[in-house]
Parts: sequence; C-alpha cells; structure tokens
Amino acid sequence: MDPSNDYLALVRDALYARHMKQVGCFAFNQASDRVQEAGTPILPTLERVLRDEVMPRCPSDPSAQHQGFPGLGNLLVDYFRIARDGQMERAAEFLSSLRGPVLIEAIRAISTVWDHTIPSPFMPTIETAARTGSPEEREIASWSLDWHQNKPQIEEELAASRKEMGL
Amino acid sequence: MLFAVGVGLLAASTAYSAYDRYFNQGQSGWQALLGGAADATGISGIYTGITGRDLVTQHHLSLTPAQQRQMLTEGSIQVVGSALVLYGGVRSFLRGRVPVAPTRGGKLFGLREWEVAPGQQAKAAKTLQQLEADYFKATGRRPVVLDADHPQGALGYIDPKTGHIELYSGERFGSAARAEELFHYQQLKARGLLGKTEAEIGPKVIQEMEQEVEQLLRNAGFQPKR
Repeated sequence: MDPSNDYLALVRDALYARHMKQVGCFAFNQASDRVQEAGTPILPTLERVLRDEVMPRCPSDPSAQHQGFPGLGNLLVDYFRIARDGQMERAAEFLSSLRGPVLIEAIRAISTVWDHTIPSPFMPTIETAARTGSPEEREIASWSLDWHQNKPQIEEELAASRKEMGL
Repeated sequence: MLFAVGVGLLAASTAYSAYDRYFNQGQSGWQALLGGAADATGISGIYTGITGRDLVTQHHLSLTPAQQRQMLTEGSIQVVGSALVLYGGVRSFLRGRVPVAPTRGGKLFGLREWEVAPGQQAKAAKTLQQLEADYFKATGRRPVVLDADHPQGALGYIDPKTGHIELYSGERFGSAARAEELFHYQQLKARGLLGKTEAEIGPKVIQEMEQEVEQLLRNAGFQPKR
C-alpha cells in the first residue's frame, strides 16, 4: 500500500482542521500532531500540498485565510520541526519556493520553531523577502530579521512586561 | 426562545380557561382568573382528580373514578411541563441573558466567562493594550475576530502550536475573552511551550495555566461573570 495516499489524507485533515480537540481555552489540531509524528517521510507530501494546493489560492486577509486553510500555520510548524532534524538544506529550498501568504506563515513558523532566531540556510530567502518582497512579505521578513538581530533586548522588554502583569 | 413560547402557551391557555369560567360557568372575575391559571398549569386537574371537586368553587363535579384518574394523570403532566417552563425562565433570568446566547458551560477550568469589574475599566483597558502590543511584537500579527458564534459557545481559543488566537461572536460579549487568550499566549511563551503538541504540553500544565489565568484576570481588573 502506498503510504503517500495516507499522508495526503492526513495532511489535508490537518490543513482543514478536521480533527480539533479543545481543552479549556486551548485548541489542538490532532491531525497536525500526527503529521509531526510521521517524520521525514511525510515531507514531500507536505511540500506538495503547501506549494501546489494552498499557495495558488491562499487569501492574504487573515480571517479569510484562517477560514480557508485553518491548519496552514500548524502544517508549517510541523514541516520545520521535522526538517530541523537533518533536512535543513531541503527546507531552505522549499522556503525559497514559497510566495505570498504561505511564505509569510512560513517565516512565522520558523520564528516559532527556532524561537526568533533564523537558521543560516534560511537567511538568504528571508533577506530577499525583506528587500524585494510584497509589502506584507517585507513587513514579516523585517520583523523576523529584527528579532534575529536584537533578540536579547526584545526578550528583555517582553519579560519585563510579563513580570509587570504578574507572570 | 423556548421559554417565550412556553409562557405564551400558558398565557393563552389561562385566558381561554378564564373566559370559559367567567362567561359559561358564571364565576366571578377573580375566581375565573385564579381558576384559569390553575387549569393552565395543571393544578386544578390534580386537585379535582384527588377530591372530585373544582379547586376554586369547591362544587362537587360528580366524576366517575376513571374520569378522576384521567384528570389526575393529565394534571400531573401539565404541572411538570409548567415547572420546566418556569425553571427555564428563572435560570435565564439569574444568568442575566437569554438561553440561546452562547455560554461557556461553567465546568472545570477555562470555561468561565469574565467581564470588567466595576470601577476597573481603566486598569483592564491598560492591561489589554499591553497584552496586545506584546502579542503583536512577539508574533507579528493580531488575534483573528470571527463574527460567527462558536458551536459550543466558546468566546475564544488559542492554538499553542502556532500561537494563533481566534475570538468568536464578534467580541459582542466584551473584551475579557481577548485578555484571557492573550494571557494564555504569555503563559505559553514564558513556559517555552509555543510550537508544542498537546502530548508535549500535557493535561497537568494545561490545568495549571487555566487556574493561573483566573488570578491574572482578577489582577488585571476582570471578574467572573455572574
């Protein structure tokens, strides 16, 4: 049996948030968690769905994007968490092929997975987006670079704010 | 909605029965009104079923035992129905909102609704502004507000894997849900749990965060909704 068919169904389940679990205020995309468990073999399917199915018809408005592809952010976090283990060159190539809202979400996912530092294989794509991308791409890429360059200072400011609020 | 329909039916039934007592049975205005209400709620049926007399006039109605049993049964069913309508109305009144409005259930953690405490508007607004600014700085985005109601009546959710916050019902029920989800983001950030799966976070930590957020909301000028 070809496992790629199972992967495709699983990725689409995660993309369209078909199996959500809500615990108090926390929402978990269970299919996305299973995507992550699948590991490296699911990367080609993830790339295909994100690049060929989502990218051509992903709206830029955040509400519309979330309604159309509610699991997009989850899949990108899954992708980079899997790729972190020995698949960085592949991930850099994939990142460079992205445009528009999917690229924007991918840069956010990188910030989540690497806690606001940009791994060097991704740097050329993010720097290019900051210079020559659409206004939205430039904004998120500049935000990501600002974090990368000034992380200790920004972290300190946010930590002070959390402390003030009792956290 | 169901409460309104139930009250409407009871009122119509009372009016019909009072009309019958006043015009056809020659009872006084008060007798007709009280008798009508007792008929509509089923109290007359139970009384007559047991005693064989009319509740208001005390006239003996010369019913057979079978007719009395039938009146007792029908009266009992009517009383239960009326009690349910009354219970629904009282419950809705005590909650201060109509029964069809979204509700978060009130069970365990994270299911309580919050509102700005009296006299704490400035404090709550300042905290919310700070939370918003910090969230935007950390994620490069703002919470998504959906106009639709959540199917289970939730007012907001956060996805720990992405940090994405979703607020429902167009935030018609105030700003507390926004504050709660933004506090949850800060909790996840402080614990290094962003980007993690449910299994990696675990139920114990989720429960801890739900408990902690209640104190954070209180400190920020919010209170549980009555």
